[in-house]
Amino acid sequence: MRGALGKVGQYLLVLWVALSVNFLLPRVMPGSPLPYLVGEDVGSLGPERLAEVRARYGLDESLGRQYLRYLSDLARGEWGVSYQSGTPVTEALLERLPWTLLLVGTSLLAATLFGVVVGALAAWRRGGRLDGVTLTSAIVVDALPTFWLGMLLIAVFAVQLGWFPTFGATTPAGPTGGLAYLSDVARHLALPALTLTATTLSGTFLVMRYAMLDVLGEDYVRSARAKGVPERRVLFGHAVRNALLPVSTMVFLHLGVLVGGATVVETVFAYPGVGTLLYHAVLARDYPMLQGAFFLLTVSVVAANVLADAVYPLLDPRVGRRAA
Amino acid sequence: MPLSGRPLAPTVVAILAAWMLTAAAAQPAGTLRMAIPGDEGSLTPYTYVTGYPGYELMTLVYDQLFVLDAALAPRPWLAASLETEGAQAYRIRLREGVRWHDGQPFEADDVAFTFDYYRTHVTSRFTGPAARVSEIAVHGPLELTLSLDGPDPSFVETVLADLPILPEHVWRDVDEPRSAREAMGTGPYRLVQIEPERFYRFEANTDFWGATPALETLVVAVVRDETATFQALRAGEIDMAVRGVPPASAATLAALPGVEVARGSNFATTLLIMDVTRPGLRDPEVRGAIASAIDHERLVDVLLLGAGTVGAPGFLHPETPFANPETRLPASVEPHEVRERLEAAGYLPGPDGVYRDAAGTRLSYELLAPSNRPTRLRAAELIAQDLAAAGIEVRVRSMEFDALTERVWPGFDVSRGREYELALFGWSAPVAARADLMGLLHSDPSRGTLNLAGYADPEVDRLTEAASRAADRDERRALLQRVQAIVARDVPFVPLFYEGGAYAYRQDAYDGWSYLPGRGILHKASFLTR
Repeated sequence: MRGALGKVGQYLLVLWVALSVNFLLPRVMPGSPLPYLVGEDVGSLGPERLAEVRARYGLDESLGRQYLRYLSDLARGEWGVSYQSGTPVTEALLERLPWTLLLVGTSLLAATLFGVVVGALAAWRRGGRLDGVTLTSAIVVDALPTFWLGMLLIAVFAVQLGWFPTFGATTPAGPTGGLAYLSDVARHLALPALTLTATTLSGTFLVMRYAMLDVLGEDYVRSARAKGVPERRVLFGHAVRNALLPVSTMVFLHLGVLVGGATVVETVFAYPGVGTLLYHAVLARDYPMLQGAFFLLTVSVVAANVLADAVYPLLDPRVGRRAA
Repeated sequence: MPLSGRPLAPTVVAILAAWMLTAAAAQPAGTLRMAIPGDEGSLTPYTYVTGYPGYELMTLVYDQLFVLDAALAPRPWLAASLETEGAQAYRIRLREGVRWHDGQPFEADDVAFTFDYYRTHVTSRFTGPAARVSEIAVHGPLELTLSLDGPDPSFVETVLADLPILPEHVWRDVDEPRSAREAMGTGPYRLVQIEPERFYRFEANTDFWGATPALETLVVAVVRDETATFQALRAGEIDMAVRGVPPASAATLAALPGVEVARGSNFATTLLIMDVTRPGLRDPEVRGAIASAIDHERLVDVLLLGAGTVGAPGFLHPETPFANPETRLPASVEPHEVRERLEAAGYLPGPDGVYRDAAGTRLSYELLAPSNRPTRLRAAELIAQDLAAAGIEVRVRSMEFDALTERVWPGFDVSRGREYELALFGWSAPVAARADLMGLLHSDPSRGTLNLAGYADPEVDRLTEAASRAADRDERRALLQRVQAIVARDVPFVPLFYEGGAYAYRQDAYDGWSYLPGRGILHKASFLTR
């Protein structure tokens, strides 16, 4: 019980520190959100009108006062209005979140499934043809810059062959419902998801492969084989389950930053996700948007950790026993 | 066999009938797809984001009282006629039969309301200009008089041709204009759909009072990445890229079948700015030496591949109405002549070849350049080479654009001083089009709001004030030309070049574009039948 309370306290502390950093970091950056609040020609306003604008948005208050206001707004669930677009922050985030979850979620799922299975098989047939080919390709893909891979895919599959669209999550003003819409979304998802899967995959594959090699050398695998357990059951029943632990750590880490989107892929494919939203909020010194987006990110990272803590004992009973 | 099983004759008749019906009246044709480099909010006068392309898209929905034609002269738009007394009181008669997109009639009260609203709700582009109107008298539903504090002969082109008119019945209830969501005006297109960060959809306003809108539908997609934009144009997914074509890819794009690149001038400037209160830089001779040591032609050739105009030493682009033709080209000078000039002004080279003033202070400066603007960053490197050859040491330091702005223009308020020596900076086209030399040069921070140099000269103050009060255009031009002559001699900053405009579009999709000098092809007239 005391352990559980300690854990909760720990998470709350992490949350508070993260929230404070979210507040402070954007404000210590040089630069000002004024051009986004009153428009590009901000310079022609003159000192008095500028002061009026600063006062209106509370930008002339002391940092301490702004911090208190930030915490109380957050506690009341008021995330504010974006400096850039004038839209409520929650609305803007909700607008982007589904696309991010679709893109990053699909890629994470594909990369995990594929990485685990191929990683396990490669280790199982260590030194074989499959192992050689997959290991080499994983290392090559891992070394490719993401944006370059994305641009290459666009040049070949979208521009040259015309199989897929070059940008966006849907055709602008295209189909809005039914099968036509679903196929439009899928066609737009294909290349960015492929890019992101490829770059995430190699990590999962390599971790799985090494974990598997480790496990395959263990006594219980040898005993299972000696008992005459069929090869396939040794592989999936004994070895894979035990090798999953490091991979699951990695997946939970990815899961936490899932809502943060994938800025590079989103930029290259003009995909309207949270990643580009964050990036442009940084450029515009859009404090409310930054606070909102980072808050979401913080909470989801903490939640993923809580989830990981809960799932570990299921994968490895020894973890649960230590805490009790 | 697509028509198998279907009687052929009725289909042909139907197609012919449809064709004849569309041919009968001047109907808007088809859909045009464009890509813009960023989200533009809800595209009201308070929520559009950028001057280009945001303002140009917003004014497809909203109309101004006047518009500028290809010669940059104002033409009546929502206004039907105008009379002025001494350029101080402007009596305007409005066009009859104009309706807002929701069917309500457009009236003089809307215009009066618009000026009031801009004055009381701060927005950088419209508040200052609207505040120049001190009194508004509405004489009838279609007639009103705007009175200014003092005469302003360029009021029509700088204010009346710029301010979008708001519908009073919508905006009178809007307290917080930044939260305005609905763009609704009298313009040729209605904004019918916004998907934030994805696209905007406009439809032709079939009740438009003026020329017929040339297109039925405009789809404007947000594509932030430059490469992605031009790939989409290649693939035929968009018909026009609003973002300018980088000089290096203009030729390749223009060579593609069906793709055309429209070229012309752009008034946005790239400048070498200086803090003229610093040692060395406070001497006009040193500033003159810096200006003449820079090979302007090389900058245009190397950085813009020739697609640009060399900076006029008087600041204003040669094609703008108030430019001084005598300050059109910078003098071309050899490094040894620059050195002789410095020596004549009392500077002597040290053992390292760098010149020193009488007190022994080296002419050595830090040059700030924005890391995310490759052209400016490369310009900084070339300038450093040119100046080194003339005995002036320059250390280039690249920093993020906003961080640089904060150094040269803390809080966007010149009364807060400045923290730089040299920097690469630029002003957007409106500063040049408005001929805002007072903003750039006046020593009083509330008038010289753009005076990043810290420049102060009583004669320039006097001349720019006189120009702003001049009763007619010719007098104003004469005064501004004198200011430009002083700028060319005194060098408070060095105008380096004006990047030329180059815009790519698919000719097969739509070919009705017209190039407006200094503004490009994205403007209202490009979307109307001529």
